[in-house]
Amino acid sequence: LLQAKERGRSPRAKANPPSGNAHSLAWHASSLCRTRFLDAAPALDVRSILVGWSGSLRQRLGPWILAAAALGVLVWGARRATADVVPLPELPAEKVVLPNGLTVLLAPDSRTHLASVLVSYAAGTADEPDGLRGLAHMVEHLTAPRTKHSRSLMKELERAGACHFNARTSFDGTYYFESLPPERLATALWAESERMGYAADAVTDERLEAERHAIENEDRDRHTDSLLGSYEELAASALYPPWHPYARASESRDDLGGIRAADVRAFMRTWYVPSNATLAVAGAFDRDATLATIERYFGTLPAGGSPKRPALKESTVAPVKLLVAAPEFFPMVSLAWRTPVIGSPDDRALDLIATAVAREENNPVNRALVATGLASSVFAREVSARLSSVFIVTATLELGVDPNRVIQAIQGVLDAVARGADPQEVARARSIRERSAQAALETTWGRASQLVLLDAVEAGPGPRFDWGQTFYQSVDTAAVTRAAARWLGRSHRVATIVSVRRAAPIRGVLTGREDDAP
Amino acid sequence: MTRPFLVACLVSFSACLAPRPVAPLANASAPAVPDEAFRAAPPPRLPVAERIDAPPREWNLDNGLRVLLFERPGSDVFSARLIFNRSATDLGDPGGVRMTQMSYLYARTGSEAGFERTSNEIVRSGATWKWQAGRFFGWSQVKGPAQSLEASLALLRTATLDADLTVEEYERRAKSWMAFATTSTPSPLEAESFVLFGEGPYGFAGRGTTMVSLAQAKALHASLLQPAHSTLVVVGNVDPERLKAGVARSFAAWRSSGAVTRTEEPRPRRQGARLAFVPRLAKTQIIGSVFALGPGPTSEDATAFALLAQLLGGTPFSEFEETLREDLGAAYSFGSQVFFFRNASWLTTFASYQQDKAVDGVEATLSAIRNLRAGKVTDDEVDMVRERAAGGWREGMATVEGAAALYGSAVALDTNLDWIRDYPSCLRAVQKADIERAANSYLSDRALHVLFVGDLRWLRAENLGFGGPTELKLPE
Repeated sequence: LLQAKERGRSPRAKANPPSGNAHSLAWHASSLCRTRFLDAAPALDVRSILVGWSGSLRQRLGPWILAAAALGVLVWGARRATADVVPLPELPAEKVVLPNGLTVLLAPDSRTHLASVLVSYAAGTADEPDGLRGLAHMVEHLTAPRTKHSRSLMKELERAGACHFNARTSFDGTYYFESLPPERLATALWAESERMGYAADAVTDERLEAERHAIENEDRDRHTDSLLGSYEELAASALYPPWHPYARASESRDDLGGIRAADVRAFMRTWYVPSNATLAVAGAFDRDATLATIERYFGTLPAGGSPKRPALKESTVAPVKLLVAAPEFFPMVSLAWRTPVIGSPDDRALDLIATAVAREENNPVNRALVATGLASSVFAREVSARLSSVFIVTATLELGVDPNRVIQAIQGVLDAVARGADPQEVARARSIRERSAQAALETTWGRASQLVLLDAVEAGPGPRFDWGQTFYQSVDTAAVTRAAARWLGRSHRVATIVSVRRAAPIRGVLTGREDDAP
Repeated sequence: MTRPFLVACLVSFSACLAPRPVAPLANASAPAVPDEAFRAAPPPRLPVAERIDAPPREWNLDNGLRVLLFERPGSDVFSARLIFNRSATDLGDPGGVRMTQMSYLYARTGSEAGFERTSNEIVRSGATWKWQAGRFFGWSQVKGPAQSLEASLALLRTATLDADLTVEEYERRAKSWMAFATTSTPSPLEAESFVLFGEGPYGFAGRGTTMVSLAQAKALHASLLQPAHSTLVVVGNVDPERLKAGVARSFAAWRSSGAVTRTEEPRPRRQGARLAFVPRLAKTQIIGSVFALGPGPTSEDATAFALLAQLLGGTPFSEFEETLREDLGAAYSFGSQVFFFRNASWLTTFASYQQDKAVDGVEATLSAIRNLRAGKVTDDEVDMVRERAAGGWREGMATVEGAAALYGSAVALDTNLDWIRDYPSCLRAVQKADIERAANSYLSDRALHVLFVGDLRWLRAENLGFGGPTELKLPE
C-alpha cells in the first residue's frame, strides 16, 4: 500500500484500491493516488528518466503487480506491422534564454484548460560531495515548501487549485512541477521564482532536523520495507566503481546526520541558479503576457556561476552474478549493462532494442520465455542518464524454473540482435516509440516534460522541432545491430538472481557473488 | 596470501578512498538577490472558468446497449469505455474471487490467436486497449487518435466480445495466478475492507485457494458481457453521426444471451474489530490507519464526506500532514481516501509510521477527527479543501481516458452524471456546517476502526480507548 513505487522523492502514499475495481473517485482523495505501474511509460516522458533505472524492476515485480495484472493492458505491436502514421497536431513551441541564463521553453495551446510549469535544475544526487550523500534530496525537501516570503508554497499552490504537483530528485537533476487553471498560472511562476531565489533564506538547522526525520521515514518506506529495495544499491555497486557518482543509489544515513544548513545553502548557491535551470510552461496561456510575467519574477535573479564538473575516469564492468534472497516474491532474474550517455546515437539505438525485444507483449523475449513457460513476464528498458545509462532486462520466473536457463535465453535473444537486427522489428519499435511520444502530449504536464527532456538532449524547440517525432528516425537497423554488439555482450554483464526465501529481509539480502566471466 | 590478491586488495582500497569527481560547492557569499515588493505575496487568486463538458448525447441500440457521448472539440484523442454494469454479487460470486480470477485469465484476450488478432488491430488503429472485470463492475476500454474512431471501436469489439479462453491460455495463466495467490500477502486496504465488510460484497474474500474452472470462467465472462446492462462512454473530439455509425457497425450484432438481474445490496453494517492488527514482523515501519463506513454516492452527504478525507490529509501538504511529518516526525508516506460503492463508502486515513511513533500518529488522527466533529474547522480550511478537490478533479478530467473512467464510475454507481461533470459546483455547495454534520454522522468514536500492520512488539495501543487489539485472520 504505502510503498511508493517510483524513485521520485516527494510523492507520498500511492493507495491502490483493493482487488477489483473499487469505485475510487480519485479526485475525492489525493490527486497523487494513482496506479501508475500499469501505464505504458511514454518513451520520452521525463519521468522515465526520473524513475531511476531500477524503478522499472520494482514496478514490474511485486506480487501485487500480478494482482493488478488482472487489469489487462495491451499496447503491443504486431510482429510484422507498423502503425499508420497519425499526423501530429499543430503545437507551436519556442525557446527563449533570459539575460541571466534561464532557459525558458513555451508551448501555448488555447485548446487546453490547464497550464503546467516544470522547473528543472541540472543538479542531483550525482553532484553531492563526499560526506554529504543525501544533500540534493534534502535540498529538495527544504525548498519544496518554504521560502523567505511563504511558509508553505505547496499550500499556496493548492489554494490556487493546483494539481499534479510535486518535486523529485534524480541522479542528474531536481524537478519541481505543478499544473493550474490558466487564470492562476502566475501563482506557479511566483512559487518557482521563490524556490530559485528565496528558499535558501528559509533554511534553518531546526527545519533541517525535521526533514531529516521525514527522509529517514521515506528511506525505510522506499528501501528497507520495499520488496527488493536493496536491488538498486547492489546492482549499482557492481556496475560502477566506488568513486563513481552513480555508485550509490540512495543517501547515507550517516551523511544525512552531518548535513548542516550551510551545506544546503552552498548547494543552492552552486546549482539553484538561473544559468543552471530550465523553466517549461505548456498549456493554455497567452505567450506575450506569460513571458512578461516570467521576466518580472525571474529576470532580476542573479545568474550564478557555472561550476565545472571534473571529467570522469574510464572504468570497466567485471561480469558478475549476484545472488539475492527476498521474501514474498517470485523468483526473478535481472540483467544489466552500462551503456552510453543520454541522447547519444547508441543510447537511442538501445532504446529501440529495449522496445523491440521486450518492451511490449508480442516480442522475441516474450516468445522465448513467456510462451515457453519459463517466465510470467519480461520487461526491458534503456534508462538514460548524463554520465552513463543502464540497459536492463528483468524477468519474473515461473516457479521451479532454472534461472540460468532464463539468463541464457535472454542473452540468446540479444546476441541474435547483435548478429543482425530484424529490420521489421526495428521499424515496429520505432513506431511504438513515436506513438508513445505522441501520447505523452495529451496532457499539459506531459508536454512540459517533453520540452525539458528534448531540450536536454539538444532536440528542443528550434527550427525543426517536432516534439520528438523523428527522434529515432536516424537510427537504422545497422546502428541497432552495432549497439547490441558493442554494449550488450556477456563479458560486461551484471546478472542478478533473486530467489524466494520467506525469512529474508523484505528489501532482499545478498547471499552470494560469483564471477560470471564467459 | 598471494601477491596478486594483495595487489587486488590494495587497488580496491585505493578505489574506495578516491574522491567522488563532483564540482565543488560555492562557499562564497551569495550575490544580493533583489527583494521587490511584488514578491511578498502570491498573485491575486483570479476566478476560474472551469471546463465543464456539455451534457452528453445519449442513445440506445436495439440490443439495449446505452451510448453516452461527451464531446470535446479540442481534443486530438478519444476514449471509449464499455461498462458492464453488473457486480460479482449479481453473478453469484459475492466475494468476487472468481471474477478477479476470470479478469486475469482474459487479460490477453484469452488466446494466442486473439492476442495476435488484437495486436494487429492495435497497430492499425494506433489505439491501446485495457480491460478489467473486478468485483463491482467490468469495463473494457480503447483510447486512440480521433482519426481512427472506427478502427478503435472494432478493436474494442474484437478484444472484448470476440475473446475466447483456450485450454492452453487457461492453464498457463491459472498457474501464474495460483503462484501469486499462494505467495502474496493481503494489503492493508484489503485488511480494512475485511474489517468493515467481511468476506461479502465490498469486503475481502482472499485470492482463492482454488482456481475458477475453465467452464466457470467462460460462463462468468459471457454473463458479464451483455448489451442490456452495458453502457459505452465516449469522450473526445468525435462527430456524433460518425460515432453512431461506428458503434452500430461494431456492436449492433452483439446479441444478448440473457441479461443478469441486478441484486440489490443492503447497506452494509459494520462487522469487524474496532482495533485490529496484522503482524508483519519483517517490516521496519508500522502502517496505521483509521477508517470508517460512510454514505453511499447518492447521499446528500457524499461530497461533504469526500471533503472530510481532504481535511484529514488528502494531500501531502495539509495542516494534518505538518502535524504528522514535522511536529511528530512520525511519517513520510501518508494519505486519505474515500472509496464509493453502490450503497456505501469507506474513508481511510493512513500512514507508514516510524515504529515508536505509530500510536502517537494514530492518536493525532483521532484528535483531528474529534476536532472536525466539534466544528473546529475554519472557512479558510474549507475553502482550501474545496480547491484541493477541484484540483484533483481537473487532473482526472484533463485526459479523455480519465474522464471516461470517472463517467464510467458514475454509471456503475448509478449516480447522477452531473456529480462528475460539474463537480466544482457540488464542491461550492458544501458548507462548513455540512462537513461538521458528516463528521458527526459517520466519524463518531464508535464508528471508527483502527488497524496496525507491522511489528506489533512496538505497539502500546491500549491508551487509544478502542479496547484490546484483535489479530485479523484474513481469508486466503
